[in-house]
Amino acid sequence: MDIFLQLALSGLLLGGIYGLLSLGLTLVFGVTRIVNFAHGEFVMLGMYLSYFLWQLGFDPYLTAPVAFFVCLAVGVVTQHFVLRRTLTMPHFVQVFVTIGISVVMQSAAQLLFTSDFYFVRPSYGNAIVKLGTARLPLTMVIAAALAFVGTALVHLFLKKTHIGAAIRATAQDPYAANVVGIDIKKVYAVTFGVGIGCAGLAGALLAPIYPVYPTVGLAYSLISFVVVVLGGLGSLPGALLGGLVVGLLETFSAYYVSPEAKEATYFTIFILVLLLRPAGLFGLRGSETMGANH
Amino acid sequence: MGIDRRTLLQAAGVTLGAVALGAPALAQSDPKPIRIGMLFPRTGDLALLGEAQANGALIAIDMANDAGGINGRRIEVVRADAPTPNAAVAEATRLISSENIKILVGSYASAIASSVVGVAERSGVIHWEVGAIADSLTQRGFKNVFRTCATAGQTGQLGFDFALNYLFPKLSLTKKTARIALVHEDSEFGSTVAKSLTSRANELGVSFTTYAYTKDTNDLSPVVLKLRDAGTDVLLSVQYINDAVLFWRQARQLDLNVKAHVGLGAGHFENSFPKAVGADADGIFISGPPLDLNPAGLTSEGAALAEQFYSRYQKKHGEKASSVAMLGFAGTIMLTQFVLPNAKDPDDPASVRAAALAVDKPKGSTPAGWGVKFNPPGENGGQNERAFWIIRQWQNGALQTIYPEELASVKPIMVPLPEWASR
Repeated sequence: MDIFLQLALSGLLLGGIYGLLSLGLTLVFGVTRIVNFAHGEFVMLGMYLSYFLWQLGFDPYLTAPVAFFVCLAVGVVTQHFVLRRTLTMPHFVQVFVTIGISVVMQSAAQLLFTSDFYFVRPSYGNAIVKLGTARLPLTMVIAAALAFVGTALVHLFLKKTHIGAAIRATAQDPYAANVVGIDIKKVYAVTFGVGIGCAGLAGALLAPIYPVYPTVGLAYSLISFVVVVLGGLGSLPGALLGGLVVGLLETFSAYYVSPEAKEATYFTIFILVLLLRPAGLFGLRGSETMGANH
Repeated sequence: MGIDRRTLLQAAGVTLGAVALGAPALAQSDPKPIRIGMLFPRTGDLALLGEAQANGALIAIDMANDAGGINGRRIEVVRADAPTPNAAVAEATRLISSENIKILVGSYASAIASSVVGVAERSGVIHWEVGAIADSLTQRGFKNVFRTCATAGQTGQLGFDFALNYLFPKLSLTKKTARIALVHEDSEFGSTVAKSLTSRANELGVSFTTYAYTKDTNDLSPVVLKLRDAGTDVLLSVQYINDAVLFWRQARQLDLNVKAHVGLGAGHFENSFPKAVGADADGIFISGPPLDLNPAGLTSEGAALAEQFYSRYQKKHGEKASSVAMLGFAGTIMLTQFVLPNAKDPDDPASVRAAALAVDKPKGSTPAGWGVKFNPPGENGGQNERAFWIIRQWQNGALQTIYPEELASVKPIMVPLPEWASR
């Protein structure tokens, strides 16, 4: 029973982290229909920011908002100069452009920071939260908790603000949104910016947990795609719930089956979900084909 | 057309041959240098450590030249860059055909070495390997390939020998009672070392439990929990840096208390490891190439070479020599000190090979603590059978030599490892 509690809580924390990683990806896809293959590289950018600011003496959790806004700005600029020009082009053009961005960012990181591993080690890095017999690292508890808070905030932003309503309208039908006077170019820029900001925030929150190196984003991109498709493309709560499902599957299958089996386990479930419920566990039916007509 | 080209090639061959034959004739009046090709990765991912190994090798060349050369002939080094296996083949071919090199020294990485040895063997040129450890290099039946350092397979042997001979008595464990676990990442590297550990354990009659995992994982808590459930006494691990850090952090978080941890992979070896886990690194044993050996365990010749190497390296590069540089130096000094002076004609691969096979130096004769005795062509031909790895331990953020005991520089600390609650 003790082990069950520990595995469940560890799985939930890991899942929270996956949800946090996927938030920005699902937002960008849901509105702009861009599958951002450079998502993991923006997470990497957030991690490096956190590392260098920590070197200057700033606490990693104080730098997290900085990482959010810096990446938001980078996202807006990237959207303006690169992705905006691809909006009317076929989807595969956007795919190649984002893959290109990811390669450029990786190489730049390698040039600027070398391929060394960097570590953010705050004084409380080893602190443990005890829940019954389970032991949970404080850094992961914070990251998972902020995944919930972040999802809620982005949700509120979409529901309660004017620009949020414009974003939702554009996501439903860009043509109609344009007709009623919504500046959809601005909507795309803001959405991409916020999505990349979320990636940067995730990076900053992961920096005290995982090492930072130029190709760290690759693994994060893959897992985010699994989570987003599993949870439902474009659905914010879906990303969080998808993350939790994958996290729990990972820890339980690694313990009860084999540590080598965990990827096979969640990819099997992933394929089954795609076959039986193509829109993902929590997505609206048909959302996987939305956007194919423009 | 075809005939024309063939005639042309023949003419070119005759001309080249004449140039090659002419060279020794000229040497009689003014001693020509002995030319050695050096092939290490100087750019790309492998550059940092490849360059360090080349720097070690170059110290050996400096020492030979400062002492007046080999029987009066200076050594001239022709350097090439081998960042990838393809580049290595191209550069080795260039050194052999246009630079007329007869001895190649290299190459730090097994992937590079694997492709170079084929070229050398086909061209009848000596390949002198100082740093690549893949067992297969000397198992292909080649007669021109020599390896001075120990192999990957020997890591597994060392792991269990160290646990049984050294740790068990100190921890009051026996073969029957000890609960040993092996944790390894499941790529080619981890699996190969794990295999060599398994075969050694079978020879010694020790039983242990294996836990394999994929190295790009974000979470090793299930592995740590299994080890905790099993009440592991001695932990052997084969990990890369990422997973080594994650594993050891989660070991602390989940309160996995083992009595000893021996890291047999690359992960615990670099300075990145104590940078990532801080003082938690202290007490972990690692296996690897020799460095900082107790001079009392070396012969007077080996001790003198070691002293010269450390001081020359410090002076030339402004930093302490690493174990990767030591591999480069120890391997190259064997060539310049024990082989070339005894070769009838250092420009003739056959006579260099004969001189190499004739070397018979006891353990401790080289600064790496090794002896020198190359296997004759055949099974594992060209491998220095007196090379071995050593065990070091992280102590206050630095690695200290522990085992074999006659080469130990300090006493071990934290045996058994204290529980996390008291660290």
